[in-house]
Amino acid sequence: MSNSYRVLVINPLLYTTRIAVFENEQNLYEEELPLSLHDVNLDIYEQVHIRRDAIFQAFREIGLNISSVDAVCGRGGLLQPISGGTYVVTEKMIEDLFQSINGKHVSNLGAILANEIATNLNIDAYIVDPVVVDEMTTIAKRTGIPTIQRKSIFHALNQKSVAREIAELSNSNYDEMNLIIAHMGGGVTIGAHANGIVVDVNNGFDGEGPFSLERAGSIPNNELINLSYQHHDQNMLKEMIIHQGGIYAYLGTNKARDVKDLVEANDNKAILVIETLAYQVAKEIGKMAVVLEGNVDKIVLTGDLAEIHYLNQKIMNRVSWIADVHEYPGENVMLALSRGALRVLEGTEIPKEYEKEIKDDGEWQKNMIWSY
Amino acid sequence: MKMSAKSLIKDAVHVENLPYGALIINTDGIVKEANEKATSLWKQPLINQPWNDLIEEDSISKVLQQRKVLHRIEKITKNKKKLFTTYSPLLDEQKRTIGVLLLCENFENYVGNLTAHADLFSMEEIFTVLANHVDFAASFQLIEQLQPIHNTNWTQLIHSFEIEDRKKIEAKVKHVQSITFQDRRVVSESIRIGQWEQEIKISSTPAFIRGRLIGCLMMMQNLSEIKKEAQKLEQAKRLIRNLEKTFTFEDFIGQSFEIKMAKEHGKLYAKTNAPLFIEGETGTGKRMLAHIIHFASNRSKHPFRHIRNDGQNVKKLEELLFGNQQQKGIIETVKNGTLFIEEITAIPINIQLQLVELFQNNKYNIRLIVSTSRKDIRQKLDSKFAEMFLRFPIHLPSLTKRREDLTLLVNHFITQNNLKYGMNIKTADENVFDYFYTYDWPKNVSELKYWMDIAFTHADSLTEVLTLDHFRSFIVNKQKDISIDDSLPLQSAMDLFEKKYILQMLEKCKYNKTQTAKSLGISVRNLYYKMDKYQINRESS
Repeated sequence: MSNSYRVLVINPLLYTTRIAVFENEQNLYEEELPLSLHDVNLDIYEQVHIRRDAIFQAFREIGLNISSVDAVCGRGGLLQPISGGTYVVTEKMIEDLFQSINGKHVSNLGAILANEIATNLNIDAYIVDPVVVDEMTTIAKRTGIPTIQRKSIFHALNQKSVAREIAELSNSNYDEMNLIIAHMGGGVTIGAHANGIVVDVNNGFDGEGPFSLERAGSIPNNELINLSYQHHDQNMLKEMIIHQGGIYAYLGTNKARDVKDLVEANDNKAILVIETLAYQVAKEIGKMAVVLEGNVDKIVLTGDLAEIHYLNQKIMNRVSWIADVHEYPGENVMLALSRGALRVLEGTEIPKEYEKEIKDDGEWQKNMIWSY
Repeated sequence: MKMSAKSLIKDAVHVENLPYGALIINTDGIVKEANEKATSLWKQPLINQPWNDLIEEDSISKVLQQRKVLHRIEKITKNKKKLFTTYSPLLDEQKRTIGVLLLCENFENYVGNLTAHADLFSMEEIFTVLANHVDFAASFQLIEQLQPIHNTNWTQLIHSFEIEDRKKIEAKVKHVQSITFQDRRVVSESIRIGQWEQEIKISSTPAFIRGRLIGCLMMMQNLSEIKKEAQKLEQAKRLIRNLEKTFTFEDFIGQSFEIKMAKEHGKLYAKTNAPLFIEGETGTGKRMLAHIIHFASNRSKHPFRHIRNDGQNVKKLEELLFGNQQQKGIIETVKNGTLFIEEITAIPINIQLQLVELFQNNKYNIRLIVSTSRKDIRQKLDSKFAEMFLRFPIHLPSLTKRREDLTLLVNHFITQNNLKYGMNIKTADENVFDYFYTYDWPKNVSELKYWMDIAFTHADSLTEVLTLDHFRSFIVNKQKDISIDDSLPLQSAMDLFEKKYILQMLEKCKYNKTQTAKSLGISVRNLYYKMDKYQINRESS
């Protein structure tokens, strides 16, 4: 008789806290707990007890037994770079998050809230595959300027979650396959997963690879330097390439839904932009195929933009010679987090310890401006 | 010049394609000129007719007096047709009034033109669009119009009723409206209609524009539907609490004095940290009460663990509680929370002593609740243990001591099982209640719950009332108890018969003790003595 485990998942967002209770793979209950107009303006670290109490209140309201939860799992925040996997929340992790050691973002509250609730219940709190996961090889990080290294910032949670799903579909294991996962959404990241390690991936946040719904992606160096002479304000320039570039700059919207509607309505401009995106994504996939030395088992297209079938088709036309391409549109953060905790509860994965996994190569940079 | 001005105007009236009816009326109020359009509006010759006769109300004298342009809506006397009319006084060079130039147009055309060329919409159009976007049934009555404007929700709601009921509702609507127009305030009234006595609420709000009451907005709600939805939600939540065991004091059904006392004790103790001792027969709700107290206390954010003694061996129980190399003991996992130990007499003495030591230091800050269904347990327990943990008892009465709660309990299980099994049972018939009333429920409420579940399996989706038939296996089982074939000692058999006979007689006399005693040929005092002996409830049914 297999055991049944309950996991409480916590995903803190800007104006609300999203929670879900999973019993094994089944989503028993999911709810959004919005912050009041007043509380939204507080510093995120001052919101902790408010969000925590809202979670207890939600359990009371619906009548779910909080005592029956076996583990609490939060979304990972901006920690020091670590390898992928499920991590048990520790003091050092909480400390680094409170100090915003790698930036300040609402997702920093994930581990903190999970810890608050888990401590009360004498159970463990976990995080899974935060955005700072760095498994890149040293050769991948080197650039043409000795003092500048590439950074690994990507959609680790969704990429690895989708990779595991495709591995299961292929009757294999994630750590026995070579996969290329292309996540296309607010940012676009394409990762080369070699036996469960993401050996190379483009920086989906501030300036590498294909453009996305609001990122500009890679810009030729010279033009970028010229642009920076026009805009003396560094912050404004970063804002341009991080939040006002890509599809937003061309079509005036950064919502995947709107783009999908435009494409379906045969809007010429939208079609051109999407075709360009397909071209860029396909090239990046090609790059990763070479990184994997041509041994690619599967390619997966995921993220909100993967809902646009035309985009997927155009990409597939260029890359299907490399390997079979699968579509997993959208992303399910809550399920991915619960699965990470479930693997630990079931004993199929051993949770990692943050302190032991911190990459101490001293090269990672702290220059991120996360403007939330 | 006077002549030419006049003749100019005269000619102007007859300009071809003038889209208005044009008339010239002299200072005596007689029509002197009229173009074709005007004639076709009235469908009669107009020359030399008094203007008064042609329209319902007279404004000519006003215009002649005030010598100002006047716009009015006139109604043609004969057919009440509405016209938008403009009166322009005609003045000579000496500024003396010589007549009135009148331009008129069919009112509907006028409005049509206006709305087509300006972005104006009629009140009806605007209201209809807005009203069809709201969730509720709405209707708008303009004060000067006959017909109200309904949105689709209103029309649908009205048509969902029988014709007779529709008339009642419409009468109520008119009534509420008239009060609103009269008193110029919000009015709200309910009416019960239909065979299900559904409660319909009709409310009306006066609408003012620039200080003028122009009409009222009516709203109609089926309160019974709303209440039903709210009820269903409550029931679903109750079912969740039942499945998750996150019970509240409300979920503990009972209005009898003893239960109320037990609940009050529970509420009091929930606020403290003292160890609790719940005693009562099997199936009286000891475990439920333990859950309730935990979730009502400030330990509700911490774990709740429940240990049941199945006669498992001592070593296993010890490991379970205090842990071993591989696993944490329950004591550790329930830190800061509540630990509930069922049937405390089954805990061996050495473990009792360990618990005493543990709680003396209170290293783990655990709140202990213990329970038992046995009587006189102090001898079976270690004295130190008893002293520490049996200080605060809560007593849960057996079902026979609170028969007045039977109806409530049966109804509760019916509601719950309806939700669980998707059925529509409304109640159980009198015979069932009578049987329940006289039965002695050795396993108390848990037995009642069990038999209610079985009864539902004997019913189907069309059943509305549970009868003794649905409980046939229950009754057969119980009747076995008093079959003559049982090998009972004579005295016990006679006691059993005496009890049954007395019960039957009590029923027959509707629990009138004097009557019963008389029929049995014994004294009332003797009857009371026997009732106590057989634990027959003294209160009348």
